Amino acid sequence: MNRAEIFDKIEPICRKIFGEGVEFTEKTKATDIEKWDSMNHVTLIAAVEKEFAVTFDLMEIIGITTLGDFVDLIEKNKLNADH
Amino acid sequence: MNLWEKYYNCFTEHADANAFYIGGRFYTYGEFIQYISGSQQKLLKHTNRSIGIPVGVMCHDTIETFAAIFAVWFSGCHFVPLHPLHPIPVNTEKITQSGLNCIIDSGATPPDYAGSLEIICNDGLKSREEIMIFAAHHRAYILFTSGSTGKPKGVPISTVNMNAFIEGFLDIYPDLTSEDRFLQTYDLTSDAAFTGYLIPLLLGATVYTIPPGSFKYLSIVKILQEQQITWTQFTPSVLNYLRPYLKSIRLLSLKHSHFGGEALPFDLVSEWAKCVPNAEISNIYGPTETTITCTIHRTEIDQLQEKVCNEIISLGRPLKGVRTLIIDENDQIAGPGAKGELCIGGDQVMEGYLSPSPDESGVWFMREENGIREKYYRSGDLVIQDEQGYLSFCGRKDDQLKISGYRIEPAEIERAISQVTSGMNSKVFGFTKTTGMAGIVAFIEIDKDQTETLAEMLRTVIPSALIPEKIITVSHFPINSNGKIDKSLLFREYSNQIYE
Repeated sequence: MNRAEIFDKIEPICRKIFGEGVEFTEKTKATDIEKWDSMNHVTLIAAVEKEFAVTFDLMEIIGITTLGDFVDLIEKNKLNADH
Repeated sequence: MNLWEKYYNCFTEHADANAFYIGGRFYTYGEFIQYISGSQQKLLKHTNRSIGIPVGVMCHDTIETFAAIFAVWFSGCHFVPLHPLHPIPVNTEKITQSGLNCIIDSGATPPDYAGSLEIICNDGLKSREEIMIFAAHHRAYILFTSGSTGKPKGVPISTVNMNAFIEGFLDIYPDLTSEDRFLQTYDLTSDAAFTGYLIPLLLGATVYTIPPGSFKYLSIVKILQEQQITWTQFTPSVLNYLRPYLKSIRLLSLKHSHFGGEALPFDLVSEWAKCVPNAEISNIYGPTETTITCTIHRTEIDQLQEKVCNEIISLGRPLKGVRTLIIDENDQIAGPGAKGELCIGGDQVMEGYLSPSPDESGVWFMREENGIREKYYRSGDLVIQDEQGYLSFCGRKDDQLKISGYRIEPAEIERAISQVTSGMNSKVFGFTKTTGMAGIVAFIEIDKDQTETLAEMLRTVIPSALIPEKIITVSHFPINSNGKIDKSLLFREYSNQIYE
């Protein structure tokens, strides 16, 4: 799965949590979306973990600031799983 | 020596030590003095050196915000904290009730409030002029709590109240020193925030704050770990949020882990205790009217289970200047082990609300003991006291909710709903979520498609902490045999939607 394919699966999750009317790209920052607060952050993490069957650790989660960071983490997790 | 002189002396004595860590950088006490002086110079021009004037401080969690607070105090005035993210009508209500005509704001674009308000912008403002310490006026600050009439209630706290709290707190924690690193996690408009800076700044210790715009609860863990914090306080809700990650948290530096603002479940704090093996746990309790904290339960981790009632950690015992009474439903002193309303007297109890109601018999009563008449505040909290004087929380006497440290009157939310829906009927209740934490549910006689935009509309008139998590449409409210809305039937009929 390449980055674009990973992002295509993340986007509908974001739409469900943060609502329509927002453009989601890899560069979208948490501060760009009003509803992306602490509570919705864990909802988003749980949904992404479920979608890709991965588990992030706490320090990885703390480091997330953009939607692209999710793509990085999933690529990293998939890479680790392949080895 | 008055309280402000004590603070100023401490600041000068520790001039080279770090006072704050804000936004990733340290500020020494010496720099802090310069920031205070900068704000004071401008403020004195406004007050013309008169004391006792209320001054608003827009609380941004910047060094300038803390400097503004102390500039107000050192100038013999009292401060009214305002939240930059609260809707303009909420802040306007506080401005009007407090009679403010001046706000100190370090924000880039201060909001445009109507009227003759003077905005002192103190962004980056520093001065080397010597600070002047005026005689402390009796009032220190005014906080606002949710009011049962639907309007926020102003709670003025005096310097006598504040001094009594500081002395009572340090009496329980004589081991805190200038070497401690305090993490302040609360909004500066909440009274729980005061402990996180009033205490360290009197010891010459360092105050750490959470960076703005970050995921606050996750940032707490990051700063606790990276900065080797030794003292912190947050709500049990934060702990509940962190629960899935507790297994990967280990904080060896933390010595004092305080909780306040909500009931503290034993099972939750027991899991946390494994993350902080070198810490003591404290459960803190206190209505705003009794100045920040009036009872504390300080305990070693291995003794946590000794003071637990209904799976909730004890509220502890009163601070040294606080007197407590437990009153039964007939207004008589409840016997040992009997449940009753906790009533609080002593030097930490405020003199009276900013706008007193004609009948405040539900708020206060006078009691004479040893020839001295004393005022007692009725907290509305139901407690039981054990033989050693430890208090256990047993619920509320009324509908008031306590969520994430915020005291919330359902009537205030119902009033806001009516305001944004042109008079729709609603009924707001607290409920216990499947996680065991408290939440807010609103039942409204409204079309379902209107509920989708309701939360957004409410955000324009009330703070986000008051927005119900569940908004449920009802065609009509069921009425019980007493002619009141049948809460149990509502909860039964809509349990799927409440607990989904």
